[in-house]
Amino acid sequence: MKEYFCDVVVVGAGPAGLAAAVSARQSGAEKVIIIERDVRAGGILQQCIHAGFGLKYFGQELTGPEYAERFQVKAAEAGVKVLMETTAMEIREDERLLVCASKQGLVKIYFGALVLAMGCRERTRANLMIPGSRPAGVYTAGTAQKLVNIYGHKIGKEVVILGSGDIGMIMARRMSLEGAHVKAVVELMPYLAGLTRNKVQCLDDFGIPLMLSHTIVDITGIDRLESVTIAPVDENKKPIMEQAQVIPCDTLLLSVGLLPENELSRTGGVTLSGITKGAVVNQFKQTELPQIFACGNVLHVNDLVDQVSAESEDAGHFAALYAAGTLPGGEALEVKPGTGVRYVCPQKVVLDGEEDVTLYFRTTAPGRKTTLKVCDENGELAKRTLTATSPGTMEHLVIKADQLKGLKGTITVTAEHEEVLA
Amino acid sequence: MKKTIICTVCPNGCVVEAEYTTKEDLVLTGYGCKRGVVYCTDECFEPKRTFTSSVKIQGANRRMMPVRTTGPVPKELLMKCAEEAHKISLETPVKSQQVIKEDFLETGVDLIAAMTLE
Repeated sequence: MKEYFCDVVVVGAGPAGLAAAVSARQSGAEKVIIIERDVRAGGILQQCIHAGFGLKYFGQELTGPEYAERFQVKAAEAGVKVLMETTAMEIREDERLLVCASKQGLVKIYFGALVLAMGCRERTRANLMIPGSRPAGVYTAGTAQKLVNIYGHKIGKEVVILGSGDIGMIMARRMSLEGAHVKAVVELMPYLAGLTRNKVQCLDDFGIPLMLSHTIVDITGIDRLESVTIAPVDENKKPIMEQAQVIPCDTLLLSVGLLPENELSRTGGVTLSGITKGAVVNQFKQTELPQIFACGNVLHVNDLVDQVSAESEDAGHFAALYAAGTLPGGEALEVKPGTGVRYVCPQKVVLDGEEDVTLYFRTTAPGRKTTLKVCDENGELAKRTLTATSPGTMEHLVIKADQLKGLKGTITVTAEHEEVLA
Repeated sequence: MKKTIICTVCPNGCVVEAEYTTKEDLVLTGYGCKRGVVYCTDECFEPKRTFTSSVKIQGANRRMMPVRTTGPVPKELLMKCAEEAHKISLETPVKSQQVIKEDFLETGVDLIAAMTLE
């Protein structure tokens, strides 16, 4: 058995964990350790070989591995210790202990503050309960991405993709470049789930049709996938079977959403939100257990890694302050989603904070000219009007530091569309 | 000619309207920055994309190594770029940003490594 004592321990060496750890060191935490189950740091970015990362954070277009490597260098320079091939098993919050397993056996890490940065995982066929047989050739888009980009496997020739999430669209392009024929991207909702830029570069460029308001109602094939049956859906998302069509294919990729991976958080008794499936946090990214913080996709699924880095730097900074005993506590008000808003993160605002508070949120439906507003009992705190919004794009509003002390009642975020699109 | 372009230079995704008969009388509206003007002009007359792929590598704990072009290449060359990338086979060590193919397919940009593998 091995024991470590540190100020801040971070679980996961993906983009969130690396940024949090570097920031914790810069904010005065002396000993910072990252736990990583993989053989290499970088998390999911290692398989995201496409460009488009870093436009906001570095002002430069990078691929996923390049973006990750920049943070790996930062972490090494900052003196962050990374324990590779080590899996975090259990949080014992009362003892401030993280129990891990490695090739050498049990590893116990005693911490001042812990940052959850485990990322998310993909929803699978089982989550959707798609009927039909269970042949080979049905993959989640991210698994396919790993098999193609890291292991160099050819996974199929005739491809259908369910879900218009970003990974699905990016795999549509990748499979096309690898010589496969992508027959369609099928989306249940009447609008695109991922970013518009990905539709342009990944679908339109390769002439791949996007079928909105459609779903898969059957899968056939014994050993290998032979076909999928696609049907349009009515306004209640119910398939219209009379209009179903069979599409022969040998590969089905699922890009149907991501779920924060919070099994570890549950072992420590961290309160989770039913909507984000991530921890309930305040503006310091601090959970209801004050020694535990959360950031990146394990907190709420982000669109852009640049955003994850920025948010995780906050988490690392405040975790370092907590470990040093200088993070403000005290009264906190609840932040609630109002009209047109699905969720807001953070869910709480501590009034004694000294910095501006950025509220991140998603709207419920796409719309043209939209007014985003945050109010408390006394009235409006901040407002922005955008030419268009979509649930696929995370929005934000800022409560200024000097507004914090005077906040009253519940804080509510709303999005009012002048014209709703769907 | 009229064309609606969704700018992909950054995540803002500006919707730009382009109207032109030739390159000289091109009028763009709705763009948010200078880089958008360059992108949308190219999009009308010679659309370009950054090419990324992964190529075979020996001696690492993974079979493929990510690569990209140092700048965008003409869109119609993307499939040819992919075919060319399939022929490449490397050995460790490779450093990120190391040039793999200079003047890749005579596009004026290089194909470089996007990961360090030792």
